[in-house]
Amino acid sequence: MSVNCEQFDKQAVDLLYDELDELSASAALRHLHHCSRCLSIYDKLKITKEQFDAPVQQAEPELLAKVIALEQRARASLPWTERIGRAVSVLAEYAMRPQSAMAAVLLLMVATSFIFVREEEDSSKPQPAVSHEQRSEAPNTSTKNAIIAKVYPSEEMTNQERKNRVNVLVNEAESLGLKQRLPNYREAMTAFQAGRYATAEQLFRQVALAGGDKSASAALQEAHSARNGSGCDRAAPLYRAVFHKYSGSTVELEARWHSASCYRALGKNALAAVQLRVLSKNAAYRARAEKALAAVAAITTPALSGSSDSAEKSPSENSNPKSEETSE
Amino acid sequence: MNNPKAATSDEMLMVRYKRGDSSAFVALTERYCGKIFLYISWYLGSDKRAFELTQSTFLQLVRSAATFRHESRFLTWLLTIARSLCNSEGSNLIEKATSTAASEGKLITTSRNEASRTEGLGAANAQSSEQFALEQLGRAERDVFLLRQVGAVSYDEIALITDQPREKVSTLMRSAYERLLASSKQIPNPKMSL
Repeated sequence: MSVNCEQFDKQAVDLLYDELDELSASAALRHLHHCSRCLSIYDKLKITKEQFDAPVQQAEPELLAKVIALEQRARASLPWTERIGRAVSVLAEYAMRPQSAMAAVLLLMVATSFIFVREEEDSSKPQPAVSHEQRSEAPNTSTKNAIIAKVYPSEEMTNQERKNRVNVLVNEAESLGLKQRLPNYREAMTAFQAGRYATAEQLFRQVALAGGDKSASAALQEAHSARNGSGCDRAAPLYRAVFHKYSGSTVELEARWHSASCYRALGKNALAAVQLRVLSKNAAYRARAEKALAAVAAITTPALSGSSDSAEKSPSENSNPKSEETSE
Repeated sequence: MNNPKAATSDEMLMVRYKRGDSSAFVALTERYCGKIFLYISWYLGSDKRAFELTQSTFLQLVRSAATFRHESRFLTWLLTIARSLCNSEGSNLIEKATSTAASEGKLITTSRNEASRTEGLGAANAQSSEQFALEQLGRAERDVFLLRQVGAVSYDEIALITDQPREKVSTLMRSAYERLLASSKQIPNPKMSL
C-alpha cells in the first residue's frame, strides 16, 4: 500500500492524532520518509498541535476551592431519596465483595453445622460403648470426688472415710429432691406419637437404661423410634440388642419379629429367616412367621439352602466373631 | 515511588465518590478542573464565563453522579456535560446578541463567534494567539477540535457525542487545521510561523 501526496494531505491530521489504522499509518509514514513537501506540512501540523498542547495546566486554587465548596453544598441539599439510594449503593458494594460473600458463607456453614451437630447428637451419633452402670455412676463418682476434694481437703481422713461421708451427704441431697430428674415413659411416648423420633429414641433409651418395669418396653420403643426416624439400618442392631437383653420375655419375640422385618427390608433375607425360624416355634407367632418364611424362601431359596449367609451380612455383623445363628 | 492516589483511575475515583467518598471528588477536581476550564474558555472565548461554567460542570457532575454508568471514560462524560453547558451558553449569547442588534437596528447576527465578540467575551487585543486562532474556526470545527485536542477524545467517541459519522469528524479536524494554519499567518507567533 502506497500513499501519494494528495492522500497524505487527507490523512495527515489523522496521523497526527494516531487515528489511522496500523496499515494506513505505516504507509503514510513511509511516504513521509521520501516526500519533503509532506514532511514540511506534517511538521507544521505538529507545531500547531503542540501549541495547543501546552496551555493545559492546574486550575486556579480559587476555582478549585469554589468547586469543592459547591460540591459540599450540593451534596447537603441532595433529596433524601438520592441519599438513601447512595447508602444502598454503598451497602450493596460491600455486600457484593468476595470477602463479604465468603464471610456470609462461612457464617451459614457454622450455623447449619451447629444445627446438624445438635441434631446428630440427638438422633444418630454413635454412642460410646459405656454400660448402663458406668453411665449412671460416672457422673456421681466425679461429683463425689469433687466434693471430697473440696469439703475434706485435710489429709487426716482416709479416702474411704471421705467417700463414706460424701455418700451420706449425697444421699441426703437426693432425699431432698435434688436427684436428677429422669424422663418417664409417657413423655417418651408422647414424643414418639408426635413424630419426634430422635427425641423419643433418646428418652426411651434413658428410660430403658434407668431400669424398672418399663425398661424392656422402652428398649423396644427405642428401636421403633430409630426405625421410624433413621430407618432399618440403624434399628436392626437395636432390635437385636433388645431380644438378647430381654430374652424370655414377650418383648424378645416382638423384637425378633421387627428385626426380621428390618432384615427383610434391608435385603438380608438369611438373617431374617433365622429370626423367623425362631418365631415359628412360638404359637403366637407361628402362622405369620411361617408365612414370612415362605416369602423369604421364595426369594432366596438358594441362599437359604446354601452357605451364603455370611455374604449377606453387613461388615459389622461379619466382624462379630459370634455369628447370628450361633448366638441363637 | 508512585503515588497510589495518582494511580487510581478516574472511573475508580468516581465509584468511590458515588459511595460517598468526598476525597475522590477532590482528586477528580484537581485532575480535571484545569482542563475543563481551558476547554470552556476556548469554546466560549471567555475566561470569566469559563470560571462560572466550570463550577456548573462539576455541580452537574455531583447531581448526575448516580447516572454515570462506566460506559465511557470519565473525562469524556465530563466533557459532554461541559459541552452541553457551552452549547446552551452559546445559544444564550446568540439570542442576546440578536436582541441587542435588533434593538439597535443592526443586521441580525447568527454566528457564535460574532455573538461572542458582541458580548465582548474576547477582545482581539486581549486574546492569546490560541484564542485568536480558535476564533477563526467554525462552530463544528471548534467543537470537534477541542474535544480531540483538550479532551483527548477519540474520533469514534466524538462521532457519538456530536452525532455525526466518523469520516465527518475527520474532515472537520482537517478543515480546522487548515484554518489554524491559515490564521497563524495572520498574527506574529514564533511558534506558528510557517
